[in-house]
Amino acid sequence: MVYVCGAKVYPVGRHYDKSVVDMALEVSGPLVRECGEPEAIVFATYLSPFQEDFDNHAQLFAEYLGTDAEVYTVASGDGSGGAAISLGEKLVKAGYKRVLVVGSDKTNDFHSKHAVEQLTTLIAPYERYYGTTYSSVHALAARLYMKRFNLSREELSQWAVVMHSNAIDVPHAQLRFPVKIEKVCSSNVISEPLRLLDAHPFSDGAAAVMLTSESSPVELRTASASSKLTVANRDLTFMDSTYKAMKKLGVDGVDAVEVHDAFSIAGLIALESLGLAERGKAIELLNERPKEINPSGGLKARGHPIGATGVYQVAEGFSAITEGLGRLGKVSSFLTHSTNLMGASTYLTYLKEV
Amino acid sequence: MDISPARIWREKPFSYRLEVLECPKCKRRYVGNVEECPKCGAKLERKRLPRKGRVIAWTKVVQVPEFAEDFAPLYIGLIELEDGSRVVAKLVDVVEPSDGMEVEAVLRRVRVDGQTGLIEYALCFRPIL
Ligand SMILES: [Zn+2]
Repeated sequence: MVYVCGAKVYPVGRHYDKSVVDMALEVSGPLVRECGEPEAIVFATYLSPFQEDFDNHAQLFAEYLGTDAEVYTVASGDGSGGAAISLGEKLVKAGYKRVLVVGSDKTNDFHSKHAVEQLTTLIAPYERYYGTTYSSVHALAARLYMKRFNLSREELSQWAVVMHSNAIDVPHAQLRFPVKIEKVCSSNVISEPLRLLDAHPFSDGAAAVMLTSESSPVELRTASASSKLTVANRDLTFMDSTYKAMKKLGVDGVDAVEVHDAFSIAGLIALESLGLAERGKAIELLNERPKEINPSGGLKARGHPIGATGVYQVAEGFSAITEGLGRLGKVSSFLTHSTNLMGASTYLTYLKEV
Repeated sequence: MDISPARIWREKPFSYRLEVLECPKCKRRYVGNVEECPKCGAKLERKRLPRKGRVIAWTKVVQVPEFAEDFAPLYIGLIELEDGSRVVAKLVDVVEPSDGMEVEAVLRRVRVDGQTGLIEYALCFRPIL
């Protein structure tokens, strides 16, 4: 059995004064003092090598943490955080007593056009060289989904409305203000039909979770799967890897879920791929259970420090079960969904009160 | 690779002033910007390292990174400062360094961004005459 001993998050936002290692230390120092020394560290990051011109963060982090634990860096695109949790779980299952999983990443050291360019490194080479962006992949998905399921621009905007409203009561969230449908519909276009308020903000942040084999109030289980990276080879209105991972997880019914909504459309598709809503009907689920879907505000409003996001989700699930999270309050089960480029890979984590 | 203005700015305390963070309790040192000692939780204090020291070991770098081609060859030294702490830094204004050579810190240009023209400065060490 794998348990979560504790979790810490750094406020998501713009932190020019903090390096990726600084933020990772801010959350991990107190966590190690609370839970004990880890035997291994799994460090998730993706954009930081481009942002900081340095690519050995985990090692410097371990030096400053003053530990002799084994150190590993895990990268799986924007799903790096989920991948790190998944590997951390396997290390505990393999016999380690404590494994520290930390996600830390940056997007704000340069003007946002740099982050836009750096994020194109997620996309397969033959699809990328035209200037295909992270947003444009989601935009193609939105085109197909909206046409196939007859979803209006106004309906799609509801995603941002709910996410912003959920984030208001979450202290570490980046965008803690309400937005109205009209504002979403009239925000600047970033890649048609997606607009600024459909998109994740540019975020810096770090989150840490201590996994342990010692009995603790929250139990953790992961399931992961991969599908296709190449955009041309997928059904963009569905995340196959998410569907497959959910089958492996074998859980039906959760109290709340954090899905990987880098853009509004990805949130809807994720809910359907998880089997929580019928295809084309995620918007109805969102309207029925707004507080239970991305109670943190999701990537959309809590923010999206790329390689760290999946670790944030698990830290939030831990909070939701142990003390309550934002408008959701306290629950006894929680599912997190982290993906690499809109479902090329999916890393699911299921948290349950013991 | 682009030089990050944010990174240069946050690294200034060390690269311009040899300022480190020191834990008053466990004496661990950090270069960066954290509030509490990650090890023991005590509030960290800023401390400036001495600007003088001596060369412990040095190397002449002939095969240099592209951005440093204008400065080639580079002399990189391991320097022991007056309080016993050590730093790795570039040796400047020197024809041929030697072990035990007395040096002092001096701010120099270390890198120029080809695209933006942004210049990165850092403390280097020169012989004390
Ligand atoms: Zn200390």
